[in-house]
Amino acid sequence: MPDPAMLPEFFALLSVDIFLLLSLLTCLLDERFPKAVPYIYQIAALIGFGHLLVSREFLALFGEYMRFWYNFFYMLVALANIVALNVYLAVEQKSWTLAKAWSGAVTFPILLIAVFFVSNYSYVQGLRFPTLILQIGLVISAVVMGVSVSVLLSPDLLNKLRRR
Amino acid sequence: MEIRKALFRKEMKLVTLLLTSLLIASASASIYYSISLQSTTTVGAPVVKFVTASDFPTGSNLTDSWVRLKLKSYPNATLTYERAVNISNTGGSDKTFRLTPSTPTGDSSSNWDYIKFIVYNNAIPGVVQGSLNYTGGGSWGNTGQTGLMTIGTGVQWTIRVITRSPSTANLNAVCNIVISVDVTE
Repeated sequence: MPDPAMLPEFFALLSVDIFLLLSLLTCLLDERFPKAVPYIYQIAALIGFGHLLVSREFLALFGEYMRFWYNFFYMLVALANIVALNVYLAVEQKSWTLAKAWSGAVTFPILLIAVFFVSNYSYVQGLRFPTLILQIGLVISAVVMGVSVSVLLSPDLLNKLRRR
Repeated sequence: MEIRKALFRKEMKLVTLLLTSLLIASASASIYYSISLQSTTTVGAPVVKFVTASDFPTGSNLTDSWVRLKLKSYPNATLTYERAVNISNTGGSDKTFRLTPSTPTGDSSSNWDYIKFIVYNNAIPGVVQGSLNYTGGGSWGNTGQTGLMTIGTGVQWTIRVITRSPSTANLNAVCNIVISVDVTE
């Protein structure tokens, strides 16, 4: 097995950063979210920090396989929160423009990053992971992010496309 | 009241969250860094190991990293095993090692004058790379750990063993000597 260039704890570190980002974004958009949400995300990030601490202490006890899955699960929770906030903006707040901006600027770029690292890790470690799902996720995230960037740089692009 | 308003302003909240975020992110990154620095030790086959030689004594046992030599010793005579056992470096790079003695066990030390272990390179005549001498008599003594010796990759060195017992030695006396090979990277 090749040297683990990336440890499974990387996913926990990435998730901590995602929670912190969500905390700051929900603070910026505090008129659209409940007041407690930024603090809840700070606590979630702190839990991730504790999670890393525990992982370090029991590194020898927990195998690589187990470490990957509990870190991956924590990252899934973080990603689910991003999607949930996106859905909340779209459905509950009916802020379609903001929801679209959120999906283009936050949801899909972060999904792209997460999928990229998971596929890289599963390739290096020879993990039995459904690579097809990862590849599809990677392509979808990249396409949506590309379209979002194009729309952001040229807002008339969508109207032009509709006219055709 | 003004202070209270100022404290709860959005900017203050954002700055506070930003600072705590920075703190949590850097602490988490440092934990991750410390995890990545923890070394893992993998047990593998030894690369510097003992292998049998032309004068390997009958009845001796050998594994890669351990050897038990069944040596003879004669009263008032010197017995030499020219090539008692070889040391081989099967690794992909030069290795540095040394021999470390331990106190012999078994019958009384008065049954031996000395038991010498001399490490030669495999050329004929060989060049002494290091030696380890046990002296008998009243109590066991030895010359201590050998100096560090660097053996090239794919090279075999040999150990010459010389034994001698005093004229007063008891026949069939037995002593056990353990010599460990310490390899440094």
